[in-house]
Amino acid sequence: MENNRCKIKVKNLSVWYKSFQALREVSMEIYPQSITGLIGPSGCGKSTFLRCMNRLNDLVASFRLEGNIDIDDYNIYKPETDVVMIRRKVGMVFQQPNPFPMSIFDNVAFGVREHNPRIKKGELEDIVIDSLKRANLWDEVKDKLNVSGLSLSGGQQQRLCIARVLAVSPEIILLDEPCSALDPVSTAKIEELLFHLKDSYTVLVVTHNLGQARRISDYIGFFLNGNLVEYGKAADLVVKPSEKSTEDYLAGNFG
Amino acid sequence: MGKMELENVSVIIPEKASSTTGFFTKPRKPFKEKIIEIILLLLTVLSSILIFFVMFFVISKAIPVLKASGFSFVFSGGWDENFLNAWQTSGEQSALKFGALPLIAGTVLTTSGALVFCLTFGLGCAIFLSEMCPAWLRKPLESTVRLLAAIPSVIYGLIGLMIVVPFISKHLISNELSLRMIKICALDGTSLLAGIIVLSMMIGPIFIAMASDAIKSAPKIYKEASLALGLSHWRTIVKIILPAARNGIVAGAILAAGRAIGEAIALSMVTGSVANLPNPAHGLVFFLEPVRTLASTIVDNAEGMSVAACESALFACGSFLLLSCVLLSLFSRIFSGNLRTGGVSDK
Ligand SMILES: Nc1ncnc2c1ncn2[C@@H]1O[C@H](COP(=O)(O)OP(=O)(O)OP(=O)(O)O)[C@@H](O)[C@H]1O
Ligand SMILES: [Mg+2]
Repeated sequence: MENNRCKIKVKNLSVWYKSFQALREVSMEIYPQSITGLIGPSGCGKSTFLRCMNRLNDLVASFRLEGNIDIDDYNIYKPETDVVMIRRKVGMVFQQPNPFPMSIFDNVAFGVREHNPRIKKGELEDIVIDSLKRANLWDEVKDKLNVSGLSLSGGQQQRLCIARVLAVSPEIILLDEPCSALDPVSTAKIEELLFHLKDSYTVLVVTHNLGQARRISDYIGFFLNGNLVEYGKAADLVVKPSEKSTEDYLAGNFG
Repeated sequence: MGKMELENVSVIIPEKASSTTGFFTKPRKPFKEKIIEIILLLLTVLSSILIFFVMFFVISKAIPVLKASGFSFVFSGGWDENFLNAWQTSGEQSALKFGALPLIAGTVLTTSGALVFCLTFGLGCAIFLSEMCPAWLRKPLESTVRLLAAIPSVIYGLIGLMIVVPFISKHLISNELSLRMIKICALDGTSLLAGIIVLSMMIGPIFIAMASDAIKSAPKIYKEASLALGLSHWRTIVKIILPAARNGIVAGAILAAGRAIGEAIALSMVTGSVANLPNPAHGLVFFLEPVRTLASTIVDNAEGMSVAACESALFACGSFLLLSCVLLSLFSRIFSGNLRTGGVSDK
């Protein structure tokens, strides 16, 4: 069904926390220049799946993984992989807005400075401004770039976090329920900006909000108890799900 | 229990409510709570009065010597001769002049030496313990550190006397060196260096325990955000975790400094107990010269208490120790205040 080569190829991915199996043999191909939404009831393994993509799960001592995740045909769980390089390619936005306790400018410039310590001031400023613009935040903060990022509203903070990720120019952006702590207006702003982002990035969004998944996703994956029950084009999956459990979930019968 | 419920209910029962109480009126505090509050208040007031009384007492005792010596108490040496003189003449006016510069220098040198150790090696240990240590090793290491922090200081003094001092005298002090220095002071291993080492062993664990707690309680969301941005673990520690933990680390350093300044016994065991002012012009021998701190002086010279002049001189040392405590707590106030307005918050 695709002409596009896939960007991320997940094969037989199983994940355990100690003896608890959080993901079961998940296989999935994720396409570039599109938004892939992940839905499913609480605890079904969506965040776990997302955190495998940038190996943030390595922080959990009891975490164990089997299977493959290939990004651009490179298996990121190969032992000799440099996780730092993976994470530069795969940005992440968290459920709780978490700007650093520094100025708005420094928040966006932080990663850029780290990756390129000798960057010229003008160049850095250009990147920061461009990132803030693409995150739809520029107009609201252009007069107070030196104010602490923590002084912004929740929705603004979340867009600041998106700008921070855009600034280091990743290829893939993971968002774990980016709007769940936000009001409808902020949510709409973020949805709009995601829509523009998909031209240049591969976007993966976990969401609890079915409406949101429908509005923004090109593909939707439905997780249940660690299984990927159904995965396909958003339009198809929403209109005529092929699995009974997907239908139940879409109808709001559980979760 | 039943009584309290009744009291709470009484506020909402209409016929019991007087004209001024209504639904929004605060419930009356139960009698028991009131009593406890009053007792706590009294205790607080009492303890602050006690502190002021202690300060007043110490300073008033110190005044004769401080007045007679003036600034030379801080800026000149000769404590041991002064003390002997005061002891022998038992209380002539001239005997009230003391020079405590070597004692103050001894205190500052030993404490800052130990603090340097804390903020380098100790901070490294704290980072290892809280960020890098494999899970199975963390618990045993943490309990060890806490145990070390609880060991009475005199034990460290013993270790210093039996191991550190002989080591220094055997391996760092040659015969010709001690011959060369014989006019100035005796080099027998009891030294500034031994003091710094013993103090470091003593306050290191306290600092490590507090600093690693501070590092561990740095918000995890910052750490994850930084790692997800593609920073290495080490860069994340330096740029994100340590700044977020700075408050707690400084608090640990201040607590450790407080203990170091006040330490008397362990230091008097290993520093030679001579009011000698080490001379940086001697080169590295500086660290091998004996010293004595303000606190050790109070212990070592305590037998002089029966002579008024000596007593006053020791209280003058005491008042300087009190002053340094006040400065330390002021410093911690200023520092945490700065941080709160400086943008780095805890959550
Ligand atoms: N660090 C961890 N240690 C142990 N178990 C974990 C850990 N993280 C997640 N789990 C378990 O793995 C399962 C999947 O968790 P995950 O966070 O991926 O769910 P989720 O789909 O994101 O749920 P939600 O919608 O509530 O965020 C849950 O049962 C959870 O208890
Ligand atoms: Mg989740």
